[in-house]
Amino acid sequence: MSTQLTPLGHATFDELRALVRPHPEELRWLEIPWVTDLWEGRAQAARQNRPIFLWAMNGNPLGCV
Amino acid sequence: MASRALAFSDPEVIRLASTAFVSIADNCSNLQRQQDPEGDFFRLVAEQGHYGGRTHPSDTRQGQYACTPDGRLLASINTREGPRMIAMLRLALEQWEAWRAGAAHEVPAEPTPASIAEGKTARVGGTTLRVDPRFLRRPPEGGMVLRVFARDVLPREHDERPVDWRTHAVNHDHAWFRAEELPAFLPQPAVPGATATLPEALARRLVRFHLIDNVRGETPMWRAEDVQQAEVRTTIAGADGDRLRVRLEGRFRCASAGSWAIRPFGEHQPRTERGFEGRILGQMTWDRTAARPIAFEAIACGNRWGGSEHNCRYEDLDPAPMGVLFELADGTAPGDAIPPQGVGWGDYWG
Repeated sequence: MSTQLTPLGHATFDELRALVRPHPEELRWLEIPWVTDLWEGRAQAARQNRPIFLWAMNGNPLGCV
Repeated sequence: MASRALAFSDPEVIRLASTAFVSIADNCSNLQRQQDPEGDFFRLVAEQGHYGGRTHPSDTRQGQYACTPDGRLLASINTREGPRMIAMLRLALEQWEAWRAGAAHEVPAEPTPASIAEGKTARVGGTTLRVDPRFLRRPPEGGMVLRVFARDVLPREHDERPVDWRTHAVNHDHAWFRAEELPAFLPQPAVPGATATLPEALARRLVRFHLIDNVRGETPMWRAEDVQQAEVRTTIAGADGDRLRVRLEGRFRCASAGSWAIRPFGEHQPRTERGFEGRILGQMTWDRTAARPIAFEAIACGNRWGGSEHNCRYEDLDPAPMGVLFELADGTAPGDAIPPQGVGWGDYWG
C-alpha cells in the first residue's frame, strides 16, 4: 500500500473537500423520505393505513453506522 | 454502511420504500435498550424477525423489517444486497395485502402508548409518550450542528486495493456544539488579525469523537488518554460589514494500543495499535448580528493506521491517508437532527 498523501493546504483545500464530500450518486439512499423516529413513523403508518419499513442499524442509518 | 451504497442505491428499493411504505431509519442499539413504548414496539417486531432470540455472536437486531402499525411482522432480513432487499419488500407487500383482506381488523388511528408517564415525556406524532431519558437526544437549542464525512483520500493512481464498496466508502456523522460554546470560535477582540486558541474542551471534542477511522464502519471513540494532540487556532482573516472571516488551523494525533478483533466477531489480536494524525484547516463566517457562524467548513487530513472490530479495515491496516470534512448543517437534510455517534459515550460535552 502506498501512503502518498495529498498535502492539506490552502491550495489543496478545495480538491480535498471535493474528494471527501459525498457525490450525488452516493446519496441516492436519501431520496427515500425517511422518518427518523420509530414512534412518529408508526403513528404516520397508522394514520395512512400503510405498512412500515424499518431500517434499524447499530448506529443511526442516517448518521454513523 | 455498505447497504447505503448497495441496496439503498437500487432504484427499485428506493421506489418501493418511497411509495409503498412509511419508511423509518433508526438506531437499534438504542431501540433494543429503550425502556419506553418505542423500545417495547421495536422489541415486539424484532423478536419476530431474522435475529429474534439470538444472543451469539451478538445480540444485535439490526436489519430491515416490514410490519403493520400494530407490530405484526410482514417480513425481515439483514442484507446489503439490492435483489434480496427487493424480494423482502415484495413479500412484505403480499403479506400486507393478505392481512388486510383477512380477518376484520382495525388499524388504530393513533398508537396508544402502554402508559403515559409521570416524569419525562415528549410529544411524538401527536401522542404524549413516556421517553427513556437516556436516549432522548436532540440537537442543542441555538447551537451549531456540523455534518461530518470521512473517506480515504489515497489518490486512485496509487491505490492498489481491489475495487469494491470499501474503496469508495464514505461515512456520515454529526458534531454538536452548544449555543454558549459558539463565542469561543471567535477570537477577541473581534477585529482582523486577532487570533486565539480554541478551548481545549472543544478541540478535544472535535478530535476525540470525530477524527476517528469510521470510513468503512463504526469504531470505538478514542479514550481521553488516546488524544495526544488536539490544537486548533482561530484567526480573523478579514471583515465584510457584519461578517467576519475566521480561519481555523490545527494539528491532532490520537493513538491507542490494545487488543481488537480486526474482523467482526473474530479472534482478538494482541498488541495492535490504531491511530490517526494530521492537520486541520478550515474557515468560518461569523455574523455579528446573529452572533453565530453562518458558514463553516473544515477538513482534517492525515494518515490513519490500524483497525478495530467493526470498521472493516481487514488487511488494510498500514498507514494511509484519510480525510474528514466538517460542514455547517442547515437543518434541511433528514439526518441533520441525528445525534453524533459519540454523544452516547458519556463525556462528549467535556
